[in-house]
Amino acid sequence: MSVLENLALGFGVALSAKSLTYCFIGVTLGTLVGVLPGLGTLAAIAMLLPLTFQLDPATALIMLAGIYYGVAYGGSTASILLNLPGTPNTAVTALDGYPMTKNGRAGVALFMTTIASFFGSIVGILLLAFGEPLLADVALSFGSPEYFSLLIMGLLAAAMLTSGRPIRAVGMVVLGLLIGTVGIDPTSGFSRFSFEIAELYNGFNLVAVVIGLFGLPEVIHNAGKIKSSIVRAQDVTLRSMIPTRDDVRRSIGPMIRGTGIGAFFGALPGTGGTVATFVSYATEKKISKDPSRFGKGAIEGVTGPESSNNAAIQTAFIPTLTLGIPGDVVMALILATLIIHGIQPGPAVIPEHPELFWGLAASFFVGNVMLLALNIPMIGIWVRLVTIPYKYLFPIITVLVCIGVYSIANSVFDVWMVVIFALLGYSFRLLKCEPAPLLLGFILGPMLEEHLRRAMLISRGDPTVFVTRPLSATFITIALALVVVMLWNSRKRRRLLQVQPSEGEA
Amino acid sequence: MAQSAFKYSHIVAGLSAMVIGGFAVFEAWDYPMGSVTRMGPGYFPFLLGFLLFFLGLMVVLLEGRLADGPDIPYPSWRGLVWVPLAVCAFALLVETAGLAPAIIAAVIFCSFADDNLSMWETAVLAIATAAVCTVIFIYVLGLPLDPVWMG
Repeated sequence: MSVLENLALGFGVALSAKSLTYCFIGVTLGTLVGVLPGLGTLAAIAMLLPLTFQLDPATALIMLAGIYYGVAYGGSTASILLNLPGTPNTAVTALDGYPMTKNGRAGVALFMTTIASFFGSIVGILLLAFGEPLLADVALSFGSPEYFSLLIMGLLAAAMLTSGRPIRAVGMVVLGLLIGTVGIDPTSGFSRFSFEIAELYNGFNLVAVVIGLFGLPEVIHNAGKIKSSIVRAQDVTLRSMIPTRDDVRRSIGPMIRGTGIGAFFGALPGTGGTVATFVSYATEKKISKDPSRFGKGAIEGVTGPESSNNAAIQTAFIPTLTLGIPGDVVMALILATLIIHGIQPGPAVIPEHPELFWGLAASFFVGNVMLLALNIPMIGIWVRLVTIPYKYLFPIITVLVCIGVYSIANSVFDVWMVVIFALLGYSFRLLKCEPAPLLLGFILGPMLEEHLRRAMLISRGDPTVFVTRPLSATFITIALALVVVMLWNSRKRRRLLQVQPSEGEA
Repeated sequence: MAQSAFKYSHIVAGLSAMVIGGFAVFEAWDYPMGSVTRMGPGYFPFLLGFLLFFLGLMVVLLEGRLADGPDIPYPSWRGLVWVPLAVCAFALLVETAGLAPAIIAAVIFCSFADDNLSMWETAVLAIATAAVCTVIFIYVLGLPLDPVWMG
């Protein structure tokens, strides 16, 4: 089937009343959660996951994905108006978006952000639609050595690019891999690190780990601290959103470059939107004729990263759906949903469930159009939501987190695990250890071990198998190059990353 | 966050990694190791534990030389105490007392983390959250829980 026929099939799925409804619910909830400060994408998706259990897989996926990119749109609103990024992916947006608010240009910032996000998403979707089938063919030729090397590359990329301290980040990956070995070893049936606790035989629950490491530490950190905001709802009118000719002219280049950067990092397993936004911001600042404008309300610093973030979100589905390797943690949650619905992720997903993949791709398009409608005419509502005091929000967030985790498996044990991982996650925060690489290690660990074992079995214990097969050797080379470059640059990067709120004060 | 509780985060982080790595090696020692060709369940965790121990050592030794090693800030104690306690309260009550009491308890515990929440606000927030969540999760989404446990 040609891409066009496939797209027609996809739009058939995405434009059905049911898909439209759930897509709308997804993007609306996503925007809502993204706008509210102090609740990341991960915690949001984990919290809303139970809402999708009764749906069929395609609809569930459409809704979850809607939440994902809805959060990205909403998160930038909170970044721009409050200097409180709803998600790490929009942290960079606050650097110039918030100064724009202080200059009385909040409306323009919000409008241009929406346009940039829309542009990035649409290009990302096109790349997904045309690129995925090509990659799916390559994916079929993957054996265990290729998978192993690709996973190593992804894990190292995550460690090297998301943190200014490479050794610590690799340590976090290894710790994550170790946590991932807890439970019964699927090959031998031997129980590892379970200490006779029956609930641990299946390993830790992903959602409990995610919420514990990311959701609650954020709440713990912010509780009692975030005070009221500086914007009032009437400040942002439709009229104030109209950009000047200069704003538009300055934004075109950053949007195109940002989209390219985002599409690349999104498709690379292990990295994703957050890294893409930093790279995009740094690029714009570097090539700008007047870098001193950055940090004081430069529109390029908003539109570049925003388009890269949204492009990355769309292309992140490429490795997830073709290889079954989740590019980031949100993708892992989406994969987990597929598995709950009885679909085994991997190269077979698209040939066996074309309506699922193409329906999803088409729904991205529909969802982004909905977001355009939700975010421009209705911005006043979101702005008003931003001004809800945090003191009312964090108890509600805590409750929703508890219910969300409990409902995954109707298990109180999982709720206790949230407490443990929250304390662990907060310690990481104090020690300035990024938890994202750990989580990726935890998710990819079982896959990594399985492919290592299989690769060693086929090669009769000869480790050179990873460098004698061309594709595998390519991944290993890229991974090694990354390590060398990052160790070389680690001091420079640390300075760049000091703008990241999780690294200092939020 | 200008003050710091302890200056040497690399030592704490590195030593923790060494302890955890060492523990993993110690524990995996008893698992069937297998061979390179046929790895047993102990092989991979053993390698990881060893690697983590080594990386921890690197952090202690190498990052100590960098002058700008990050300090450990003081934690936000109130959030750190009350938010996890709220989750514990939920865990204790949800199956024994029902969803609504669990939610009310969690909101009350949370409220201790924030000075600006008055008793009235807390009460209204707790009851409203409990009511809305009960309706959505039990009656609309069919979560198999009792709103209030009746024996």
